[in-house]
Amino acid sequence: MPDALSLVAWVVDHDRREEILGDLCELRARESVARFWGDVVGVCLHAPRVRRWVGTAAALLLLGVAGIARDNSHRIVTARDAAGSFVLEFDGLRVVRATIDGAPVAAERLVQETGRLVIRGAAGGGDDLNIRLRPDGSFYWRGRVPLRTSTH
Amino acid sequence: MSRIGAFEELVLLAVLGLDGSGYGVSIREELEAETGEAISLGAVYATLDRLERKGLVRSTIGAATAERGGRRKRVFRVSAAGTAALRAMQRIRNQLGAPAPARA
Repeated sequence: MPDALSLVAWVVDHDRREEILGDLCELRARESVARFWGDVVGVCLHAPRVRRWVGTAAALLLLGVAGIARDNSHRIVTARDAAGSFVLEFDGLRVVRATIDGAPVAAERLVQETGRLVIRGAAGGGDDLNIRLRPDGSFYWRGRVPLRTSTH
Repeated sequence: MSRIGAFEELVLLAVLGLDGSGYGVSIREELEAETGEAISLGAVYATLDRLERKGLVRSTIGAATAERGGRRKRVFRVSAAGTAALRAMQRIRNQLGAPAPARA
């Protein structure tokens, strides 16, 4: 069985350690084992250090939940470069639709892997448009150059 | 004046009743004797800490005893602000419990 006083000494704040350990030492001699361990647990749960740990864990959990909620957000982003504009419609981190210069892109032209989206034939001259998707929802790409039109 | 909760008021009253000799164990025992309920020692410590931060109790370090493995007690006494807070609570309770004045 672990030593209750060592556990409490580890958990409680230093400036309160002596009095709390003394109180528990007194109680160990006169209480039932169950009541004594109930007191040990109660003291540990109310210790400011444990409350801080619990608070930090709860905050991290909330941040995680908020992050998941953000991942599930639906948003439409318009991007522009020298060749024109394109629109990406995100569902979380996944692109579900795209338009280029106002024209919808067929689903089979959207190729998506983790952290990467390729729009087939969208970079002009039949080249693919490669887009890097970041975990925070942002993205970047090499700017397309406008197609040269020959004049005669 | 600091506002105090119901449990804080009970702890303050127990500290007052022990007249400067109250420490964690004796305060808990006093509360259990008067309320007839099991009280968590951790809750007593947390409340005493809060009351001390509010300036309603003051603590001093007492003597070590063999029963405590040579460790000293922290004994609590109600401060002037604590007494005022208890009086204010009593006054509020009396006013709330008094019959409403007749209206003409």
